[in-house]
Amino acid sequence: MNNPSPTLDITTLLASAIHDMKNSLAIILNTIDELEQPPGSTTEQSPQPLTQLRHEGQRLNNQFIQMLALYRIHHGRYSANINDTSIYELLEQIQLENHTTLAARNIRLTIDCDGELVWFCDRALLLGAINTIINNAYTFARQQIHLSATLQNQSLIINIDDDGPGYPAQMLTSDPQPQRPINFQGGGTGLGIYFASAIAHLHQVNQRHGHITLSNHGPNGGGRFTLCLP
Amino acid sequence: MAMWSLAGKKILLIDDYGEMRSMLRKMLSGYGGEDISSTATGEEAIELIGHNRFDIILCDYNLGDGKDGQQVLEEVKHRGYITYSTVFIMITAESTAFMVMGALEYQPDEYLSKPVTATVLQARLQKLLEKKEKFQALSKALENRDHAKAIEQCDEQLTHHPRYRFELLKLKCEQLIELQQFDAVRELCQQVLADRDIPWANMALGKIHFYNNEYEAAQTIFKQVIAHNESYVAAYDWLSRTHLQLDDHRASQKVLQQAVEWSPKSVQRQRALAEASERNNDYHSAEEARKKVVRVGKNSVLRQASDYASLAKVLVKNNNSKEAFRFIDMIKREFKGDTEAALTAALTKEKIYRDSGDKKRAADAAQEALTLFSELPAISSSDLAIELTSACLAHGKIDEAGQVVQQLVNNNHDDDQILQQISDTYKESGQEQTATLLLTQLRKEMVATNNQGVKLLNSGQVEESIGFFEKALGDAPNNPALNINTAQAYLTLLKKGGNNADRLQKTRNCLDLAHSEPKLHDRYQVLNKLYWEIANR
Repeated sequence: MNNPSPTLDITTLLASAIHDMKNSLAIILNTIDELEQPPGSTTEQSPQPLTQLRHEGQRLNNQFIQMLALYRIHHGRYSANINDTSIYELLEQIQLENHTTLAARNIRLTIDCDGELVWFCDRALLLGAINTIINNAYTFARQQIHLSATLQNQSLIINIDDDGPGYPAQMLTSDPQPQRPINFQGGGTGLGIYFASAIAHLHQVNQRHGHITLSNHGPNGGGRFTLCLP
Repeated sequence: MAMWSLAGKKILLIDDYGEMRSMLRKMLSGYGGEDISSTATGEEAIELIGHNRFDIILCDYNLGDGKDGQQVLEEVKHRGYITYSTVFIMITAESTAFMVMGALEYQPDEYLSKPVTATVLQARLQKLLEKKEKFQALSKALENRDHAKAIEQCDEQLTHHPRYRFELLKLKCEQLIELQQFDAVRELCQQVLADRDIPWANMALGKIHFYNNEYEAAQTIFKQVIAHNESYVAAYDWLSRTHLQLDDHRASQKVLQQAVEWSPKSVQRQRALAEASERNNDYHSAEEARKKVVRVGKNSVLRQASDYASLAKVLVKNNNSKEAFRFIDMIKREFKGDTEAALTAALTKEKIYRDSGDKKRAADAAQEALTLFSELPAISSSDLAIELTSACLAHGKIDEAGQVVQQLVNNNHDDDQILQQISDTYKESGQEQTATLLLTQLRKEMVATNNQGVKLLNSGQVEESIGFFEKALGDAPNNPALNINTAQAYLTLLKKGGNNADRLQKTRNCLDLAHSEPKLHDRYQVLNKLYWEIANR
């Protein structure tokens, strides 16, 4: 009989543990949905504590995704599952997933993208990366988060702008290296950006890798997160 | 405005977690879903999908101890249980790239990451159902294996829906390969590759080289696909096949070994690895692979009694007869009521006893096999029939061997490989002469039968030729040439008018039985096209 390698074993263990936790999380989030909109209710605004609960639940979920993905990137063999993807539908899904949480804080999430825009990417990984960034922006944005996507020089450029105070100066490097997580202080921002950077890096064409950029080109000096995929 | 609704859609939920099933069910009911089935295991899911036509399947990737979602998808696609019109959504706990490693050739319509919310599920289902709706005519053509029609549909949809350009081009490419229009495939792939380095387009170019017997050129391409997409396992499969064609058995095994590291749960791939290892007399590697086949294939519709038999034979090679007999005995338990499986078990025992010099027990096993043979209307596996022939000859049962061979030749009179195997088997027991005479005689009869029917048909005695062919099929139900001739006779009659549903169905069966014979490829294409013209009118 063959012995499975220890790496495989712990991965399997982790994956099944997370699978279980995510089941619970799904039930929790779904129950929050039902509590917010009991049948027959007409109120638009949901009570503050529930919104907070949902936000924390989504944060947990994003972190599960990040931890597992990063674990695999460091240990495993993997390659991104690249397919032609409707970018408009992807952004639309992000809008749907975050709508309730953002609406409770009176933040509008707007999209600017050609409905026919199609690009090659790993849809699920990209969803994870953008959701993570939106989750960060949730903390800093005042009223608006703007998602836009265009094609430039044979790359897909996705900008995530917020109208908050902008990224602190020490974070404004052109491309945080996937090998080196930046600071973990201040609500885990560093891990999220590190994760997004690693995901971008997984997308490659002829040695050209995807990358991210942080700047303060958002409205009124707000943060702009740029994802560039070849 | 009419509300979007799931009413009338047949839905299947597959999740091992009861709470999750009821949550999803509630979500779908909220959007009008009524006809919702659910199951906790992959095995039962495959069963259900095999017997029902679902519009939507929501499947959790992680299904506990049994099969995972990816295996369910692979199996139902492989078996043709689901068609292009079915929406298959895989629900995963973590990002898909890591879960579906090595299975890129089987993709669902969509991966949704947990936790799935009602709004997202609704939005994605609506999009996917709309898409399937748009491509309805294409789905039908694909399902009917009406390749020309499918290509026509792809071209038409390409002008209407450029958003699905690559998907449509890929489908078109597959249809062109079916029709063996290799020049068109090459042109299409080169056009795609000019845009983007996409594995399937490269794979198609490699396959064309393979079909044209240009194995070195094919090899270069498959290696390149692997270099760019390490986890594209189909490329390993094809690379291994090219090594086999070039008689490099070591390399063939090595490549498959790499492939199973990516996809340890694929029964077919483990089987291929076992065969490759056996060709190299590497029985330790073969044993490992055979054991995985049995373990992974457990509870699967892909499992075969021959997997247990092959494992037993390898175990004997590794001097572990005790365990070998344990697996042979398992066949009876695992395949209850399956006479052909029991025959497999008996013949495996016979071979092991015979090789070990235990004549008495070998003779008993051979007798048991013959009793089982007499209960079977026909043996479906030609390998098994060859084994039975060998056992008969070893125990001097010449007449019985002749009966088995007659069945084999009736169904495969034009299959050079099987004819060769038969004469090799006779040669082993020193009866080459008998084989030559027998085979010549049986082939001649089969050819004469076909000719006589065709002659009736060509002289305009269509009804008579149909009667003649139907009778001939009674003794040779799987003979490809006989089936294609019968199909032609049916179609000649159907063309004249009148849609006889029964005859149409019989035609379809005949065509399906002739489909896999390369020598009949061109005739099949012509008749298949005619069939669909008549069936669709």
